[in-house]
Amino acid sequence: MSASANVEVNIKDCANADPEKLAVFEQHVAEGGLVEPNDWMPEAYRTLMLRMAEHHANSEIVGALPEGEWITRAPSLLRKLALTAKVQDEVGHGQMLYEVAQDLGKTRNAMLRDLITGVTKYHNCFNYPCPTWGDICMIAWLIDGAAILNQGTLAHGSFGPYIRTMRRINMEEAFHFKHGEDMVLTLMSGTDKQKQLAQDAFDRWWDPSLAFFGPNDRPDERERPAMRWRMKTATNNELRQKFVNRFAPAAMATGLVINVCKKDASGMVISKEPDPLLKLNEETGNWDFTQPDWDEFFRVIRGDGPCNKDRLALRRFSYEQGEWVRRAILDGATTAPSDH
Amino acid sequence: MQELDQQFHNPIVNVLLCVADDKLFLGHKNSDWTGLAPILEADIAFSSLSQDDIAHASAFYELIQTITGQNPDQIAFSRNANEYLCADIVTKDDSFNWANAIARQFYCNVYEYYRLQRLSTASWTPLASLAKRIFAEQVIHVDHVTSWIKHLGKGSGDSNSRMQQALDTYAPFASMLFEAPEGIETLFEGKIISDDGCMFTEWKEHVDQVTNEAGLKATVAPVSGVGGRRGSHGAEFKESLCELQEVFSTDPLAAW
Repeated sequence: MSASANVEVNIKDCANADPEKLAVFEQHVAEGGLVEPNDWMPEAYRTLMLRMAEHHANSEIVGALPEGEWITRAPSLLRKLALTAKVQDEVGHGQMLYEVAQDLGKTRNAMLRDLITGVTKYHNCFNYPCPTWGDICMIAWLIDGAAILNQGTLAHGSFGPYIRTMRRINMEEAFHFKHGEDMVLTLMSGTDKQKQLAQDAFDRWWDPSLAFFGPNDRPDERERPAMRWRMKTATNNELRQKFVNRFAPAAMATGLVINVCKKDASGMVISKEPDPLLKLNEETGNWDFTQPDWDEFFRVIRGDGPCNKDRLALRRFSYEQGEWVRRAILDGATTAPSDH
Repeated sequence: MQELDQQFHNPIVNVLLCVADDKLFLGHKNSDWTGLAPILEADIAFSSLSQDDIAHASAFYELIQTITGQNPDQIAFSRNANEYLCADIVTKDDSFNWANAIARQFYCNVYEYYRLQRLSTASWTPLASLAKRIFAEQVIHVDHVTSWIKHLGKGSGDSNSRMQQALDTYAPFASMLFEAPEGIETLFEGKIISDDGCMFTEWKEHVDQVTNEAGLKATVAPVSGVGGRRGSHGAEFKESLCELQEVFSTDPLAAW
């Protein structure tokens, strides 16, 4: 599952940039021009783009973990193949995005180390539990669906290598979404037990899907560097609304109920009621909905989510277990052996 | 499709199950590395190999279906432990140690290379053509794992000793790959498949050549005894089977 960066940016620092170069750069970007790694760019642009690509790459390889845990339990030959291929795609996306970030000045190894030591972050949605096969279906449908909406807009960004990577990734994400949709439809047209499995998982994933796009917009959202320099082309709230407009009716059409849920510390639902605000607003043409639990969102972001420690521990385990292999064959390079 | 005489049905199904179950469980164990391998590029490659193996297993289950009429998912997911005919090396736990995964892959892939080569000459054409098709991909698997053996063998003193230890650990299990499936003599006598009496020697020569070049040694001797090919499995196979069947068995008749 891909999850692009909603990286927190507080970069005001363009003061040191040459004003003439900055003006030319900003005009170029505003007119839809692309920025390539060797072009002049404000240092703040480079920093921000690096963080965005790195965060996105981290999200891909951490995102591989919850689904990866279900590969060996997938319930048919086809699902087993598809899930393995999907998780492999996420790793591939991570690989491509680390290349993008690397061109901006940070080595892959430094990025992997920063990830496992908690210096850098990954997408928050991977800190939620995935206790059943139903969760696998919902992740592929809802989270990949959210990622497609988000990344569809990121593909119109300004940094050439990132948007080209995004276009490639988006084609694969479209497959992931179809795979998710097919799994959800299969469960929802199956036995009562399967429908319950799907509903329970949906209850766990609806909120993280809404929160996927990041916190509510600030008043100056469009003036902030990420949007001014066209790294992001849509606001969090615009994307969230688009998601609800697309997925609320689709979920209900399958027979799923959209609930507002209370969860315990392990991320499991302890009580729920149908979303009282959910309706198509005739005036705006948008679906009204209850906001996700933002207190929980910020708690998870701060590292206190149901699975933060587990995900990071597994990632660290993998890094440490593989260290002798990298030492033996890479010798500072970043490619695996391909000849013999 | 070319008809196969009734007397060969059970023996050929045994042979096909040996191939399919080996590939299913080797793919199953290797797929667990997806997202966790030591290098991203290696992760992607190893995952592709696991997908190949699972897809190859599916193709063999489909061939079994032409004889027994059973659905491939039912064959793959719903048998009792003693009805699976894989050799236990395929499910021998690797403890997420890359050297173990490579040793297991190496012994199994080279074995599969020679097995498919023989099945490619089967007189039952559906089997021969499937084996030929899959053999082409098996060559790539062998190339890939050979590359790893050589790189780790020659990489550093540390990687050489880790690789050697893994080859030693898996060696006794490797010899059980050669346990004969029940009824295979009938297939030899009926000239359905060719006698593979010299397969261990060929396999051993191949393994020795690669390990020698890598500065490693594979100490594998032929053994006799009853094991996975006759449905007798150890605890690690049963653990893998439980994992494989975990979701499926909640409702074996449901579509997933």
